[in-house]
Amino acid sequence: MTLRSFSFLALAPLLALQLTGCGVQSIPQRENDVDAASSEVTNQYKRRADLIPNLVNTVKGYASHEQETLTGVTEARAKATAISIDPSKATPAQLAEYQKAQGQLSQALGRLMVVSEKYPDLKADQNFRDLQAQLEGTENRITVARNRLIEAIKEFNNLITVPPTSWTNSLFYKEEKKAQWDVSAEEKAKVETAPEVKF
Amino acid sequence: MNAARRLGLFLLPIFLPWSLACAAAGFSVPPLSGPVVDEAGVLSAGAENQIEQFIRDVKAQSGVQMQLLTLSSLQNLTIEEASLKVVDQWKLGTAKDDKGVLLLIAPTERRLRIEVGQGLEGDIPDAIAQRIIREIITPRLKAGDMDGAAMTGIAAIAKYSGYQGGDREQSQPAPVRRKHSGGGLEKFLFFLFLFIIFILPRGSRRRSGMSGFLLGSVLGGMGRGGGGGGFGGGGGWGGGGGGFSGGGSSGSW
Repeated sequence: MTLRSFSFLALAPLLALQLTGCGVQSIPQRENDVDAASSEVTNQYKRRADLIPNLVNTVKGYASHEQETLTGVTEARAKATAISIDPSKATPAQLAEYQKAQGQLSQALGRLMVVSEKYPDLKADQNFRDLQAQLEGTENRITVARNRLIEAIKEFNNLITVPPTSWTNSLFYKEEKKAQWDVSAEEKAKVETAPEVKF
Repeated sequence: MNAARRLGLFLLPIFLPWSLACAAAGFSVPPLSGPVVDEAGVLSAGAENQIEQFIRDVKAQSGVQMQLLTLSSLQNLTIEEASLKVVDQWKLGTAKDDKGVLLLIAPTERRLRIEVGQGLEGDIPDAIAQRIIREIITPRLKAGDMDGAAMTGIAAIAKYSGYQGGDREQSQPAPVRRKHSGGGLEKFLFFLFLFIIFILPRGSRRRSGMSGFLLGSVLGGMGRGGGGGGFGGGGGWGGGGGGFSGGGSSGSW
């Protein structure tokens, strides 16, 4: 008798433990992971935007008649910083708009870097070299952060669409699938043709 | 049975190359065997020992975990991709302060990279990493002095990450590793305890299925809990869960 009641008492937490395998914990956890990964992405994009005024000023000092390229960068930056979203909660359309603006800024920056190759004095400038290193580092961080976000969204979407965790979701959480990040067509072309930055 | 075997024989030549191709597609990170992993085999034994000792000293003094890796091939990845895969697997530095740095040299592709852990991005910003590469490492690589490049590069990284070479006043006692050293005995005592609690009282009677189940799940839990933050490789060298977010700089020669 006592042994039996002990067994039932012991069974309850075990059942609860078994439930944790079905997404009760992992769905909110993965959602938090997506949030964290997406703030990292916006964070790194912001970091890039913060670098640009300094970079533009430095280039201007040596290559003032590249006005068109310089304004191109400044305008693209203004557009990109005007759109601020929370990527984990954005609709696919908002996400596409945000990514397009950031992609255009990437292209404008790429043109600026190509132009700067023509000015040996600029390339020798320590300040410019440091800024260039920072920009490269930030672009790399953006790539890393985006890959991690894509991975986090994939894991979350798997949890809420693939059984058995999807049943837990439809019972308790009723989460929607999150919009996945994608590389836009022009970005893809750019990535494929991007030259390695050489020194 | 016979039909199934025949089907298997028929499918084998189809699936075998496929699975081999899949296995080959992934970039394989070499095992973390020590502070210097010279997979490309370009360093002299003397330099390797010297760098290894230096890296261990720095880790004991400042807690910064540096790592030198040479790769004979990047397997068609960019150096940034390869480097991130390596640090994602090795997790240099501790999970708490993320103070790990990787110096990766790929002699075949003539590319190199300093990958800076999240906790050191303030000490070694990208611009500093770039200067170390451009001013200290690449001139020696261009001259063909692989040993010198690796040694001075590691020393420069140590300097920026707050290591005062030989300054004993600054030196701190070696980090306590009690957490790991006592693990064996503690685990043994815990199992002994479980054994006494669950098994002995029922030893004479039929062993209850419930207690076996409980014991099993507790033991399973133990195994899972003990997995994280271990020290891999020989000589007590391994990653401690340090995070990387792509900071650092790359170069070529």
